[in-house]
Amino acid sequence: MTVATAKSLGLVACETCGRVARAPRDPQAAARCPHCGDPLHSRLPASLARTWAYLIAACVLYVPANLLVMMRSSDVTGTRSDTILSGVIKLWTDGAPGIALVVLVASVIVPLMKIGVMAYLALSVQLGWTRFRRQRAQIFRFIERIGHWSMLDVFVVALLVALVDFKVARVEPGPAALAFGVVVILTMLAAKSFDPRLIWDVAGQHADTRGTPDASCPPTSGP
Amino acid sequence: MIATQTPPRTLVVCPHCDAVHRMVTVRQGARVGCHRCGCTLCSETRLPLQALLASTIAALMFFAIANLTPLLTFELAGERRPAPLWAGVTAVWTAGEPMMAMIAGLTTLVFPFISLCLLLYALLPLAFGPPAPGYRRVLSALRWLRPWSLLEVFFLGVLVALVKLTDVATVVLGPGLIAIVALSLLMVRLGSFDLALLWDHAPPVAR
Repeated sequence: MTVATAKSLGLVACETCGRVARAPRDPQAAARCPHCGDPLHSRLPASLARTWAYLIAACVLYVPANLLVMMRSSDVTGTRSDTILSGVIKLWTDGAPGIALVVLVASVIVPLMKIGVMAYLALSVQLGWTRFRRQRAQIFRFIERIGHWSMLDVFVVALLVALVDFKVARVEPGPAALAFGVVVILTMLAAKSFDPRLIWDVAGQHADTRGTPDASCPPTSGP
Repeated sequence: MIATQTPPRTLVVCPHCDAVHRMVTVRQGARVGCHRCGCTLCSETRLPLQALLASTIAALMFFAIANLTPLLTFELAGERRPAPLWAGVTAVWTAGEPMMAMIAGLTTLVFPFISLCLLLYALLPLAFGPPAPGYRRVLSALRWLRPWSLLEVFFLGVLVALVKLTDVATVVLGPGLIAIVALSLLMVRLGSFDLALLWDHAPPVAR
């Protein structure tokens, strides 16, 4: 099925204000939206390269984020250093399995899933896969929506450091907290720079080479 | 180069898959999905601008309360440690992790506050007449700031911290906790409405 896309009709949808504008004749020209004045991009520039760059950086930092100490807590009984995972296990054994699950999902499962899914999406576009497009689009929207919840553990550590600051007991942040915060930011940037329209472009290219879009398809009227 | 002319708003292009749709009128609150990728193109119950303005002012007030009163107060051996919204940031800074403090400070204090101020700046003049100078730049900045405001995540963090501490010693809930609940809800609302609503009021670009 061929679908009329803005690109195939010589239009560009402005990412800032949502209006539709005519694409410049010269595809290399830097066009600006006539309505809001922001730069117009038919597709995000260097989308795949940027997504890969952020993803690789996130993968590298994911190692220290999980191996190093997230939080050091000391009281009269001694000092305890927790990584992300050991913190989850401690919550579980301390009798708060519900909260342990929340932290496990936000700090371990979501970041891993996000890196994995973004890599799969980038790869699928790179290789021009045409299957499961709608599902891939849905996965992307889902992952983009939940990604920021991973920052949870960073905030928990910050709060505990502020609250538990006594002579007999204190909590200190470990190096993993920063690494983890940066991982979350990098995965958010990876999702931001990934252009989901690329998922559909393989079909779009067909339409381009065959000429005008199929007239029997839904709304195809030009401006 | 500037694209030659603005076509009338008769077309809607899916931001996720670039499929072109004809603009149609739907009943209030109906969800309109993209016929190709299924994403939501429009689900906005025509929010009156006044409602957004009221939410923005309320959010700014709750932001102030959350910063001036403790969310939680931790009591141990007769000592008290109250923690308002900003406390985590300064504590992490003095504990020797300035970068982590910056991440937390930007996402829970600076970006939400700037977003709210920009929204107020954009919405307040609209209630009385023409948009404020620099309106378009403000809307553009709002779009960039939106994803980096993580107050609702911070709120969940408060709950996790609360559970972690309750069996260690006494934790007293403060008025700031109610403020952060309200603030998170308002920020979700203000961070998710369709900005096209505000773009409809933008003055034309000067050529």
